[in-house]
Amino acid sequence: MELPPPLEAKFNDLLGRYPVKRSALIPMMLYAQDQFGSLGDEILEEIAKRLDLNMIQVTETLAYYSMLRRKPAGRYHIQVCTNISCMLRGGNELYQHVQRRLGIGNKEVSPTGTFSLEEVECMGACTGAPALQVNYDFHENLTPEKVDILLEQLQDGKKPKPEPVTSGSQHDRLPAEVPVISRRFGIANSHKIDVYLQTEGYQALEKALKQMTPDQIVDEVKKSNLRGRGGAGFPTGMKWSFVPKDTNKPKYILANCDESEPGTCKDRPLMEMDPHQLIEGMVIAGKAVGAHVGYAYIRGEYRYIIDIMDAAISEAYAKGYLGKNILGSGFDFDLVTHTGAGAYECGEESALMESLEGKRGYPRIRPPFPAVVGLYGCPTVINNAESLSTIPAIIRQGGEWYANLGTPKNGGTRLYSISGHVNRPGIYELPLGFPLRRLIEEVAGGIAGGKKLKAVIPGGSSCPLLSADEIDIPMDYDSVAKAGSMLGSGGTVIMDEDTCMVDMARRIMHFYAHESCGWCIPCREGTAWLRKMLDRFHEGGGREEDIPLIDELSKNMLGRTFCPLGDAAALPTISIVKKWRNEFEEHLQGKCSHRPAEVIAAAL
Amino acid sequence: MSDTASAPQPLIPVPRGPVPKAPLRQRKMVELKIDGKSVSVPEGSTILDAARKLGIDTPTLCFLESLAPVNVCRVCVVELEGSRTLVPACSRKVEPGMSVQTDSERVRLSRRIVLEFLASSVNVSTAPAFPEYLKRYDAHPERFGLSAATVAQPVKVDNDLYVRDYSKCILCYKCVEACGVEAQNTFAIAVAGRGFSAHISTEYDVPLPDSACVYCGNCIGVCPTGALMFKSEYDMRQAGTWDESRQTHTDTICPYCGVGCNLTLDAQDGKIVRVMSPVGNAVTHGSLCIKGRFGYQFVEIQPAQKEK
Ligand SMILES: Cc1cc2nc3c(=O)[nH]c(=O)nc-3n(C[C@H](O)[C@H](O)[C@H](O)COP(=O)(O)O)c2cc1C
Ligand code: SF4
Ligand code: SF4
Ligand code: SF4
Ligand code: FES
Ligand code: FES
Repeated sequence: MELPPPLEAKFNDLLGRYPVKRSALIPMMLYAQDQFGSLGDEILEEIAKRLDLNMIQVTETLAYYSMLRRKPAGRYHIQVCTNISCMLRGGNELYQHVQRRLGIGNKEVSPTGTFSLEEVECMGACTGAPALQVNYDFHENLTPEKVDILLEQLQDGKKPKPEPVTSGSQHDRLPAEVPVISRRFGIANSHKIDVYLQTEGYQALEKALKQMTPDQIVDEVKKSNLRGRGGAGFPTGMKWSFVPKDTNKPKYILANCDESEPGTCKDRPLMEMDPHQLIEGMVIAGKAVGAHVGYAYIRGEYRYIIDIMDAAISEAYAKGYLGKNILGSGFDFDLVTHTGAGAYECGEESALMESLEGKRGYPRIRPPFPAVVGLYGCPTVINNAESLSTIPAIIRQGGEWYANLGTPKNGGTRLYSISGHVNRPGIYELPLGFPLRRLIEEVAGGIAGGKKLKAVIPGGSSCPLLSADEIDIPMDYDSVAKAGSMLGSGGTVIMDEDTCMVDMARRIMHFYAHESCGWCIPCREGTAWLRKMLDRFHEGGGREEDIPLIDELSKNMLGRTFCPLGDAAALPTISIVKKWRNEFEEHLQGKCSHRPAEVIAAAL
Repeated sequence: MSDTASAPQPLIPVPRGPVPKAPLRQRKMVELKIDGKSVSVPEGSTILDAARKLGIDTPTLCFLESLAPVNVCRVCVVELEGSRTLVPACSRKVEPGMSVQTDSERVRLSRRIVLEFLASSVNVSTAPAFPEYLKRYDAHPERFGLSAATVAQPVKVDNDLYVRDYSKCILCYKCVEACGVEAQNTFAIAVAGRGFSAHISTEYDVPLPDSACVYCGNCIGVCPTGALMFKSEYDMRQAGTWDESRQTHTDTICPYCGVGCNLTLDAQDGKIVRVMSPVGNAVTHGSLCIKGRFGYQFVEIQPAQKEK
């Protein structure tokens, strides 16, 4: 099959990125889909041929990823987010508005083929909620009126301007903020290598390569008390020290830039405004563990960020910060990006590796852990994009300096993406241990509309929810855990008094049921059942015995599933049933804190 | 793999004279406690192996001795002292000094819910293990309320040899493993979709005759629920004539080639209705090819060759 020259070039570029051909499968399919609008038999057979795969290997992989499709979408594919942060700010209403306006339903195409519509999960624009994507372009802080204008422009063949940067990432610094990794946010052209070099860029790399041994680097990171920013909070230095030294296998550095945890959008601005910081962090990590190849696995929806990262990587190669014999130190490091194609589960580290190997994103059994048997069966360090972006500052200014910014065992600062019912949703860098109450009232400007606080998700929808009387805690890993929740991914979602917690539980379960990979039975069946029950409940068709049953089912997913996604679905649900049981009971009587009684009565 | 799987009784003529024995490899033994009883098993065994050695019947659905454990059904979970989570017995390797509970309240509840999940969404009527499991764990699939999401769908009858009824599929992946890397290397079937919509499918969901399937029937041999079934069995069940009490099982050797695969011929009223191969068999590990699996019609064509 003859391919258009740009796609041919892209395919060849992709084939050159991996030691195993199959790894190019998912990116090839996505780029081919961009070209042809959908994945027809002919192009799939061509891809199979080029990668030496049989057809079932291609189709089973295709059928896993939600961005890949066999049928064409419209010229403008409108993807409206209705996940929690967007829902709290009118995402559902926005979605219904677009539906009415275009006269098409979910995953339908307009008769002329101009538009198609899809209700999607969190797209990493939570601080700009409600948000939608037109193909790969982000549009944020929307209202029905703004959407009307947007759709008209598209209809007229004009190109509406996408969001220039993640909403709420550029703002006047608050006194409470301690900008370490976000300090280049707002500087013009901060993504360019020249600006990066003018602001102490690549100095840490020079130091690490020329003045430090690998052990010294690991020690410095240990001293910094940096804990993983991806969710689990595992000490980064310790993770690096697990990588075997005496192996003749290649080793890999993976940056987890899959950012899909609902309520979280902090890796996006990091890569958007400071891609070189992440690149520098990855090369230093490579030096620390003896790895010479790195992959940045970026979620497929972040296409413009992949382009920014690719451009930054080219700049770094051109100036000798990547490639052979970096800065004359004799150390080699190669780095490429890899696109996902729509799957939350691929943020889970072992599923991410499967996905990077071109397969369905099923998690792997552990032990063995990735540090020993990871990507392509080789020792692998996998860290969140933010964790790795922190490394240059630690090496430049010292682990102790970094540790002292935070609290004992919780070093440094982290980025919070604060969304929901607050006056100033946005991305803020705060020291570890910052009080949650001040984060809500001072940093995020308090609850919008003068309303009262009802609930907080501290770090992404996988965390148990805290109620308004539980917010007098410092935001560090241990204190939040003691309060019964998790610091998680830094995606803090704030809910006001009018929020219906049954609806919240329902929407959260919809997400996990949609994203369950389906591999293990308790999660596959459990999330589907819980979704069903919560839907039923919210619509007014719940039964009294459903309340303890929802609790029992969730508790029986906890710790029994193959990977932590089952826990992630169960934990918020258990906390909502426990803390807002009264709202479930009220629903049985047709009452709801955010819907008029008549609506429920009608449903009953 | 299990040391305790009972060896099939081969009807192969055994050569006379002493058979040389391979020297036994010395394997370290590991001692652990299960339900308060001590047991010692070779290093590398699983908790399931150890439990079986003690005669404890642990339910399993997705586990098969001849395939790599996929670890998905979680019906085999047990309580391991010191572990926050329940662990799957089928894949968790024994360690010295482990203390395991196989029948605690937590374990029973967990198993019960898995069984309820499956029995509420899947047609388990031809899954041999289910009725007893459901009773043993007091499972009531109906308690989640009405309108269960199910995987109900029409049976796929697209060839003369076997049918696929995915309304009976619990997604244990055994057929995929048997067809792919683990045994057959054909790669005719795989999983499509995700979450509750995940399902077994051929490429583009084409009928079997258009797929890469070579009709080895190995997927039928491993399916624990009867979702994959000999067409002969399916037709008889439809007609209401399938009756296991009238069936005989005869072990023999496949006559087609020199490999010498072991076959078990299931016959009803003297007619072969199904051909299987014992999973524990050293020659086949349960796998056959189309000739051994489906090429049995000649038996009936030949002049009467009465069994027994
Ligand atoms: C279902 C699931 C989704 C996850 N998604 C992400 C993600 O999008 N980004 C991320 O960095 N970590 C994610 N994680 C955590 C990763 O598995 C892993 O712990 C993390 O990347 C390690 O990096 P860190 O130590 O720097 O935090 C996810 C975990 C699970 C169980
Ligand atoms: S818990 Fe099981 S089904 Fe859910 S995502 Fe993990 S492996 Fe997949
Ligand atoms: S009959 Fe054999 S080749 Fe066909 S699907 Fe089953 S295992 Fe695969
Ligand atoms: S068809 Fe049978 S063997 Fe295959 S996954 Fe379903 S239940 Fe398992
Ligand atoms: S973008 Fe809508 S919830 Fe994150
Ligand atoms: S039998 Fe152990 S997980 Fe299925």
